Amino acid sequence: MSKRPPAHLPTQATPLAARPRTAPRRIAIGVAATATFALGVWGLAMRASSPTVVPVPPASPLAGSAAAADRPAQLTLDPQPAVADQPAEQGWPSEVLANQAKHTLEALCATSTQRGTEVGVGADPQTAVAALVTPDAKVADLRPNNLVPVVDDRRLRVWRQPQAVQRTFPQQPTVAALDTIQPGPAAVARAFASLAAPWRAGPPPQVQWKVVAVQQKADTIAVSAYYEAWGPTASGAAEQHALGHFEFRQHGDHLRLATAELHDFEETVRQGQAPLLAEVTHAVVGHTAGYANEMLVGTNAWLLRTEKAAGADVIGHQGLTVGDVDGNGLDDLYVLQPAGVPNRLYLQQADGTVLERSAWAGVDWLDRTRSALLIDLDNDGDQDLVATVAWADTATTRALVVAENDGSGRFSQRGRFLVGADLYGLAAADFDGDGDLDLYACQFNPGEVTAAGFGAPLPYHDANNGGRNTLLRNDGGWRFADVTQAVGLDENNRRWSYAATWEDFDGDGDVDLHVANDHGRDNLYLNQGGMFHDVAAAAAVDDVSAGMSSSWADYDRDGDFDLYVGNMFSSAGRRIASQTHFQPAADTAVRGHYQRHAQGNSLFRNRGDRHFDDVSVASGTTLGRWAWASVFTDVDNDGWQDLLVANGMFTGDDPTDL
Amino acid sequence: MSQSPTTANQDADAGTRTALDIYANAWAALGDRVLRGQSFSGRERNCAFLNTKSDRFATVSAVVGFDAADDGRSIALTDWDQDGDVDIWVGNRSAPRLRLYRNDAADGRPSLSLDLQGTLANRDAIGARVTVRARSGGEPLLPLVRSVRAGDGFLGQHGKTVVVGLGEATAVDTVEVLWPSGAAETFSGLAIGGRYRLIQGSGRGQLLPPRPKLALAISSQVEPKRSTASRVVVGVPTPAPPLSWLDLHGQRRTWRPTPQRATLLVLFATWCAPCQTELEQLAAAAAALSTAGLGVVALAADEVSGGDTPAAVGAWLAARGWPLAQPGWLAGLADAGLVQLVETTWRALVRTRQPLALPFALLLDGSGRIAALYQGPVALATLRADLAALNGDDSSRRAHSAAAAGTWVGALPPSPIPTLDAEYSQAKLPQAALHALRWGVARDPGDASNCTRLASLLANAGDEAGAEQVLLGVLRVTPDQPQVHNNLANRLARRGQFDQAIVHYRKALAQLPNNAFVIHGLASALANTGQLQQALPLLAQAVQLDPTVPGAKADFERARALVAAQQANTGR
Repeated sequence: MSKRPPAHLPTQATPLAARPRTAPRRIAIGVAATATFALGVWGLAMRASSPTVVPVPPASPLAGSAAAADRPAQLTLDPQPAVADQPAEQGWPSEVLANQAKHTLEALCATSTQRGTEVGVGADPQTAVAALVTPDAKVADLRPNNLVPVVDDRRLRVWRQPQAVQRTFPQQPTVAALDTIQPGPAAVARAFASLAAPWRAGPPPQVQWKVVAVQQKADTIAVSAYYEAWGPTASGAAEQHALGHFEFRQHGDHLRLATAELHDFEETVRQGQAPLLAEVTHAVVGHTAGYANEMLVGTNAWLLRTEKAAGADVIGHQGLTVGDVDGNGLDDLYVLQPAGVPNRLYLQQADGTVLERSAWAGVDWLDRTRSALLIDLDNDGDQDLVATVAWADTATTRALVVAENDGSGRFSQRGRFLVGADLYGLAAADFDGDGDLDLYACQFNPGEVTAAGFGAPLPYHDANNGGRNTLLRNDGGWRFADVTQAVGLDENNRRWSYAATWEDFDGDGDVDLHVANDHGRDNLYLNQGGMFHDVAAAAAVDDVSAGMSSSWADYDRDGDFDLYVGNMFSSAGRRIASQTHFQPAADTAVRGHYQRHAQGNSLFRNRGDRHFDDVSVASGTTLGRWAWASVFTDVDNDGWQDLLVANGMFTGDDPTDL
Repeated sequence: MSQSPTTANQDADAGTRTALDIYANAWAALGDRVLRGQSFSGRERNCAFLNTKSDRFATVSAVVGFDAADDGRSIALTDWDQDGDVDIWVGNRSAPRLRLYRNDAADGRPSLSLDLQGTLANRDAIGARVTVRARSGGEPLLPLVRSVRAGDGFLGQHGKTVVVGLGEATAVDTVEVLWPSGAAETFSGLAIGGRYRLIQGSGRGQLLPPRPKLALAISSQVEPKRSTASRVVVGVPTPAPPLSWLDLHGQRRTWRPTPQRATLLVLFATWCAPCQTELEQLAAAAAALSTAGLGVVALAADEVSGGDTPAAVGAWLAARGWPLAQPGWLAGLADAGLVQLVETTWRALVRTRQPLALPFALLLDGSGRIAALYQGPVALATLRADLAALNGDDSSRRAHSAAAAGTWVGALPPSPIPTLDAEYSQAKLPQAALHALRWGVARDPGDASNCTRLASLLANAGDEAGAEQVLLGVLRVTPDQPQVHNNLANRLARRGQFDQAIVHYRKALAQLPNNAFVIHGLASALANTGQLQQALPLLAQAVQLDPTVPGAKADFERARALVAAQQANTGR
């Protein structure tokens, strides 16, 4: 018998049932001859000092009683099996149409590059295209014929149309340009084929469409979608980006294209086969202990190797920190690892490779470590360590651990500060100007997280029930004082904070503090003489969005620091938030918040008067997808700061799953 | 798409689910998806945006080579090879979890590297602002402003060396540093392409020797083939559930821990090829494993999928070398209940929602603990290692559960009992929940949370006396538990033991003097023992503290009416 992978046992699906409740019994008690008391007897409502996330405050009188005898359940309250809402059934036809539109566009690109497997093997491309378009379809050439280079270096050339017009959407395509076009599939095929011009001599590019708006009017469906294509060319590589506006008509269960236009078309061409960023990971760390068994094992696999009680988490929030730990003048790297896997300390050697020395250094911590800083806390010339360490998913304490470097790279713990349940980003600066570094720690969830790993921020789009961030003032001698409230940083300090940065954004000589918050408004605390006040709204950077990341640079070279905030871009969110029956009862401001939420990263240009201009859309830097770290750096050394964005939420192991 | 609530109690519609229920359900469904191995906003590529010196950046992720799709999380920037351009470390959720990109984009454009060192200011010069004034030929260029930061992006920290790309510059005029202490200093005479240390107050840049060019090979990282097998060593003391099965003679057997001996309980099916391989391997090593202290119970789960008799299973095993005569090596049938129990245990201890797959095995130690869970075949060497680890103390067993040698910094993790309880209860396995809670209470009689919950389950099963005993047990160990006192008081009151209830209500009240529930409870008990005069003011207080306490208001009105009636009676 041939070997098969472990067989799956057909078990009965276990429906999620409501957690057991102890029903209080009402007792009729005779007191006097003529009177009876009906007194319910129940237990104590748990008034925990930090709010629990699930279950919710009682909607019915019984729940208060149940809380005493039972502990808060970690699983859903819903007696129905947890099923993701189905768009069609829930009255979201736009989601169904979005999928159909995407399918048609993908098929059109595929057939135009002779890869039309989706429309039938061996099918004549013309026939294939005819099945995807209306008989009277009119499509102008999709790749503009008036491209000019806006960047013209030896390696990279960026082409755009002479006047790139910024548009908001949803938007109707202009009809005027189509007057000269002959209708019909042949022209449409040519139009789509024109897109693939940079790749004519080689394999076809990879293409992706992201539908961001859908509107149905009578028998026409108007769709806006981002287009991108990328792939190697004969002389190097190319990529294209554009925003498309389309009209479709329904034909059975698929959509046929009637009109199409691409705006903001951009094409970048690279000369030379080698990428501009070369991956050398294996050369540097490949030979170290833990590389093959740890760095090449993804978080999904770790969940099946580590007990839940150790703190195995699904979201993969472990960071990286760089610093010269052993004082040899070369930057080292401290890699934080999931629960049950030791953090790895890579000490750089003269040849650029590393030695793994976490055990020797005393920092081979198995606890789930999320963020760390290597900074000289005692000003003695070596890099000390600060890290946020947890040990279980239901523990209500996380520690901010502080460790002293003995100068050679060995660390001894000097303190443990229990400042929150769910600590995230760390940022250090000398806020009070007394010559030593103080510590700011973000906190996301104020209390226990649910079994799914998510808290319940309320309201979702602008939550103010999150964790409390902490400022620890360095008082020397490894003593730190919690001065958050004393310096005014407790203002608007119940957000769901992921990241923070210190920067003197108003150029007055002291460091200010920006905090990127998920589920709502960010903070910008202005430092005035060591006291802080949240000016985010006044400065127009309150950015009601899913903030994950914070980074500063003077990208326009006008002498002050501009701000880039990593948020989440969701094409689904954009589509849905623009539908009229999303949040029908909410006012315009709230719906605006939801649309902002799905917009993506935010770029704020510093005007110099403690005010920023939101140039996110105009700058073309929003489309980061589910963005995490979003940072400035001058990649090509031309003196102008560029941006890098790390993306992705959860990729499952099923290769066919979208 | 779920509507999200603004407050916890907002009703979404006329239906029975509140807005928060729907919202919580949506999150739970998402978590479920992910833990079943599906994607959510996955396969997204990283992005690079090039500053075009205009309003609009260019998207160059693919041509630059930054567009990996690894569920990227953090970015740490550093000029790793010190060749004057910034290299990029990326930390990911998916494998490969670490990437280093050497910067080959600078293409000969010059830069200036500055290591700032504070003397009055903090030594790392965090917060220093640097302004580089350079020129191209005779033309001064726009100033380049940088700062030194500790913490940037998301969960990341960059190297502190300030690398300033100079573009078309041919010379550097000055470098102004505004130190975080407020003092400003200007450095001149710095050469393009140089690396300098700038020490506060020194007035001059210290040239650092250039580093020889590194030879680092470019290569992609190859993720090893993913296995669907899972092995979780349970380092935290965790009780095995009550396990029973039908042996090959149709008799019900129950697993009981035997000191110094471990048991591997294996679920298999006769139609499962990997199971067969696994069992044959175990059988072949039976003598050695037995000597090492291991017994094995092989249970056929065929019945769940359509039946096989004990005799047939026995014959199947015998044909594959199963040592049916070996002491401690047993066989039998697993019914649907046992499978569900094992699956629920797995889901309680491992963060997954995947269905159980065969072969599945539990390693159980001599004290009643689960030592490991294996899905899929387990190599004999691994099994022996996990077996040997059982000889260690709790600390060494916890160490063995880690992926590699390391140190636990934090305190011991909390007990897994609440999670087991929640999962067993939700799967409608109350006996398993009871068993786990009893184990937890026996280990730590002062754990109020476990004890309260155990009392609740006992009461649900009709054993009120048992429930009270458990609560009294907690109080013996840790008398200052107001919740437990209140819980016990409630139960006593329900049974009509009002005098004892009053004692415990008062103890709860001593620590929670302003809790309306406790006050109401005490008042009820007083009223039920005829002490209306004392009950009345307490009811008033309860209502005042929290008018939403169910029934308190009504009871207060009633009591007031009764007292008034009594006074009217006596006054007549």
